[in-house]
Amino acid sequence: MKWKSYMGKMLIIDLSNKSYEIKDTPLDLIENYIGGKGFGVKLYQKYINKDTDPLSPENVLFFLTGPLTGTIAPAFRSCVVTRSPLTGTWLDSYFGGHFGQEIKYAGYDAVIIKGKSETLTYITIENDNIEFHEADELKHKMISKTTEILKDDHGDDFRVACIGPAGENLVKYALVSCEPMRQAGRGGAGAVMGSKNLKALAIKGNNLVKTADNVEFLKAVNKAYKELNNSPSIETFNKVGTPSSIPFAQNVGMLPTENYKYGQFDNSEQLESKEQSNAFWQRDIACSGCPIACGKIGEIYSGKFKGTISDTIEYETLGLIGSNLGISDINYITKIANLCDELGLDTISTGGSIGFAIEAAKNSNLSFLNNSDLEFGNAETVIELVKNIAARKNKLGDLLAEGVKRAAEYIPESNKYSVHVKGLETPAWPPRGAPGMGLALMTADRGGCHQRAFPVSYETGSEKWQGEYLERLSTDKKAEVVIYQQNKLAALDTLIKCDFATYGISEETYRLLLNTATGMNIPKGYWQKLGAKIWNETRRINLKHGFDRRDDYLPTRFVEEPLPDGPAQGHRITQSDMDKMLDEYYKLRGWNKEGIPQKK
Amino acid sequence: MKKIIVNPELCTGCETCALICSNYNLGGFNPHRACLTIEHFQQGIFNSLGFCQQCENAVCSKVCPTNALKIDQEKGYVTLDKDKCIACGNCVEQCPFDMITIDPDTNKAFKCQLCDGETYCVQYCPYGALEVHTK
Repeated sequence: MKWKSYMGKMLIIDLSNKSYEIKDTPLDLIENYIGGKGFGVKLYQKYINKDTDPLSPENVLFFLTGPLTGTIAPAFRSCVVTRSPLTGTWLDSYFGGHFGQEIKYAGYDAVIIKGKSETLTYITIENDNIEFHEADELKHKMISKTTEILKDDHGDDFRVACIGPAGENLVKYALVSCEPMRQAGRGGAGAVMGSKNLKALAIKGNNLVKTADNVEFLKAVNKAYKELNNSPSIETFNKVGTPSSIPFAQNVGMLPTENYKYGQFDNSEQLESKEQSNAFWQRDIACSGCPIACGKIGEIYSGKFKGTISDTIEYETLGLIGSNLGISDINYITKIANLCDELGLDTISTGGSIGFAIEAAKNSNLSFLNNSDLEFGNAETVIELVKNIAARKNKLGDLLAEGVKRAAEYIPESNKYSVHVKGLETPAWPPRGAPGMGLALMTADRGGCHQRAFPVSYETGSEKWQGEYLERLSTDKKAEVVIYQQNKLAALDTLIKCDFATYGISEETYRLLLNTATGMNIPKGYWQKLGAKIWNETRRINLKHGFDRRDDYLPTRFVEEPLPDGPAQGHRITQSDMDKMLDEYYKLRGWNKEGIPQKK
Repeated sequence: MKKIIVNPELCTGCETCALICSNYNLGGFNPHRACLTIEHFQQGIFNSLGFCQQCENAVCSKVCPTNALKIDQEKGYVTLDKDKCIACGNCVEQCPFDMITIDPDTNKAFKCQLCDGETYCVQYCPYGALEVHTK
């Protein structure tokens, strides 16, 4: 292999005839698209057609790594790319932990899965020894049990990616768990795996990931460590993790509450880090090679859910399962999150779907919604609903398993409170008091997502944009901030960076890590160009699938209902706000008024 | 003699120690190829690390037919002369802590020699969970 730190091979598995082939990773793919999301956009267009049904054997699951995955460079991850059954868009979903690293150690840059097995199957990959196994005994097993059984059968040093009952039952937002508590969470990659009758992949390998210039590479690693050590944000992630965003979101009025109706939650203090720290945190836990250790793990010490093992309940889960459902008891939230993890459900979409159902119960006369227990704050009912969604049990569970967009199509006049963009339930950053965040959700390539751009800190005055503070409620300059962030993050997702690490590690250090590891000579200023190229590609993919400008708008709640509380009280993002931002955004991207990229 | 000891309360399971170990000893990253071992229990609530104990009365050195393994009091650890190793596996079989393997690439015994005094695993552990203990 010309470029170091790549393994130079891709494993292509066809479940329909239980066969596989090992191909060289194309040099032009590496040189033009680096890895991760970059590999994804090219391979997606090669393997997936505009009409490919996401749950058909023709859809393809790509498990992708980046050049730094599996090295000591802090903190690099892996991703799953496929066509989303929830949205019908392109889907890239990222995961930490150790599973992706093991793909490299087994000798591959990518594992590509096509076709469909007739019966439930799992695959073991040990270097170039690939075996298909009947998975009868794993049927409907929870995530941790599935992982445990496979490790017992094949060895503790195998790393396991699997689906839970939700994936087997084709819940549209089922996740792929990559070792317990690390998930490719969003967009329903677990349902794609379920549609292929693939319960799990277990992988291990003894190959070495070698760098081009080990001395210079370790210098770049040390530079990255220093930058992480000097960052107050990283210190916060290490000490208290993402729950630290709760008081911030509450103060700025961006904490989703009761199906996004409100931006502040009366009991927000009960969602803060201290509560879960007291309830179960025992120790720090980190992904492969990561010095940040944002995870806190332990068992609930006492009470009804004593013994439940959990990693940090992240901000997104606190927002969507907590405040958005009116639940403030951290033990219940932890239990519900644990249940989602074990059943294999995305907590964001699950919270969004249940919040929608509770509001629908108040506003609809449909008989299956006629349930007095369906109200905000009723955690026991939420537990039952989560189980019913994963099992597609009864009318309500089956409908909510389709996600908010499809459920709203079934319930008359519910679009007033159905909250999603392109079919992806939005995250815990409702944008009525931050139009740039609105634009980020509108234009995210996989639907309503906060991880493609997150301009909130610029909008709320904690950071300056090009030397000046931006007006929070204005739309001015928001398009350029969103584009800058989208390009940067997409480019760094070719390396598959950890989002949190970008708060410390500089763009220059990412460049040094890549160059010293691979032997490439990526110039300064490359990230924006690479990112823009990738955004053009994902846009073209979505256009081919039938998405256009009309899909780039926010849900009615954020457009027509003024925010009832918080510092941005009375504000909403109007139709003309959205049009103005979209026009500007398309223009800056070199797209026409319909959002079609103009330059090849 | 010196050996590496671990404070399990501080270990996050990031495997940085094993990554730098394989890189120093074999020129590439793979925690399975390190001369230390990591086991995760209860989904990572507790991790157990295994290190060569650099035994005062090292049985590996006693059973080595070519004197490739030696107790070096001055350096403070059990040294391995790879040129002398014939990969007979006696040391692997007899080590009570399972801390010697035969490396599949080099076909030579593989054990911790404290990175010739540098102990990179200790240096690189981001959480200060490892230290060198001198007996």
